[in-house]
Amino acid sequence: MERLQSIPKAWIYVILVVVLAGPLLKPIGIPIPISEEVSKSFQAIDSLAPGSVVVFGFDYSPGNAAEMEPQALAILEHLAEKQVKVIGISFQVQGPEMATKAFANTSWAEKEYGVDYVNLGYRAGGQAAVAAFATDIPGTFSTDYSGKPSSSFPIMQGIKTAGDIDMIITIAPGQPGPEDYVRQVYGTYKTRIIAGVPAVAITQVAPYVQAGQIEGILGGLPGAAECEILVQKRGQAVAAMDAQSLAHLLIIVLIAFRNIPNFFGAKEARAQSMSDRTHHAGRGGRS
Amino acid sequence: MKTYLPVLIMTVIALLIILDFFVADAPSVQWIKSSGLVLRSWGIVIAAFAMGLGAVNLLRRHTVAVSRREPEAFYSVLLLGSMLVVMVLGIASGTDNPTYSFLFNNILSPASATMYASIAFYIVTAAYRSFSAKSLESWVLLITAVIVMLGKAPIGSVISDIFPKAADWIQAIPNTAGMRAIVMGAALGVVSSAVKMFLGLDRTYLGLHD
Repeated sequence: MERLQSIPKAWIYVILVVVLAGPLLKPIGIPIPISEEVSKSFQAIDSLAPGSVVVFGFDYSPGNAAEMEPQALAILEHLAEKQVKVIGISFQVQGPEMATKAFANTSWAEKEYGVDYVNLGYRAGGQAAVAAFATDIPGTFSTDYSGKPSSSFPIMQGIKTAGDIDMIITIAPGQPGPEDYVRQVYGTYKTRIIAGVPAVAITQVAPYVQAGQIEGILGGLPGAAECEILVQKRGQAVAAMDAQSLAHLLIIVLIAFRNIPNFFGAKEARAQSMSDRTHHAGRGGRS
Repeated sequence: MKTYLPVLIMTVIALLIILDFFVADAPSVQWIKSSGLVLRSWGIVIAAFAMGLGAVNLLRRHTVAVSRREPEAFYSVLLLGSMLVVMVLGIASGTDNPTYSFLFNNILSPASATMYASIAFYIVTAAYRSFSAKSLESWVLLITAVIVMLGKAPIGSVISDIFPKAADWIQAIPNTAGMRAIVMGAALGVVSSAVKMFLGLDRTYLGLHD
């Protein structure tokens, strides 16, 4: 029984590789239910009229792209289908490159740069930069990522503050993230916000979702997979969900292995102490 | 004077930013609005300079390490080399240069993704080693973790509909209640900290600890 409590690290690593690689190479096809949060996000984007202006915050980096990029790609496909205009911005230093990659790998590659979409690049300053963006978009992002004046693009005509934006979508694993947009943008302009966050950050943004300040959230890879299903463009996230399910199961099995001896050990100890007490009481009775 | 002047500057600027958030967009208070706008753009410039300062500091630190031939100077050479290549490429030919994108997509992206992916191995072994339930509290934590893990993966709903429902309930009620308390507590902390700074009671940001 003690062996279950001391499985070597190397074994666990090998088992994890097998559990992850198996379903990636040969998918099982576990059905993916659609959560209420993702359904709300989808409906919010679906309600946008053609020609609406959406600000898309590419606030993630290559380090967390495995979890965040599928969300961005699925939402961008939905936005392309809705024929809205997208202004890409970033408050994360590596975000503009992620934006370039995302636009190139979706239906946006066939659309016209500067007319249908634009990549305005990165601005330093965290929450202060979000506040500056809210009150003066062309002033804060005076050039696009390649250095051309942002006012020269047709998509930027008539855009002054966050009040001129129909929706903000931010894909952000950390700060600045959805909370900063709520504080600096929603508070003043009541602009609709959709957020894509890692699975571990759902709790952090949940109070803002319940308060109605964030209209919908996509949480981690499951959120991206659900979005891919709703948009009917299955991609990386759906493909990875079987692996994630099995990895979760593996963790539960390992935790069970770790605790079964504890459980039985405690039971045995309780039984032992009961029998000791009976034994002592018996001896006491006889003497 | 050395103490009072910075406190005065900070208080005036902070009050202007706060007022800008609350006042209406009327002509009589336009000066507050325009001051707020200018101050926020200054904030961005200062943050950009701080990044530059960080880069200079990094260059200095690793140049010293190389010149002193410290034991891990090889990594400093690697850092300085890659930093200079990316900086020269970015400044000389712009960020839309194909070589710049090639370096980003084929070196930085896979390296960062590998680092991130390796966390999975640590998480699994850490969960195995640390989730040892020996008290009632740890059993509650363990059972909650198992419910959320099953409920947040598609396999949970295949086993039973109860798992996603229970996971959603845990997330929406006890979890959000706790998070809300933290958010509100932190907000009150920020307000009290700001008031202390305005009154000159907290001057640690000036390097003074009295």
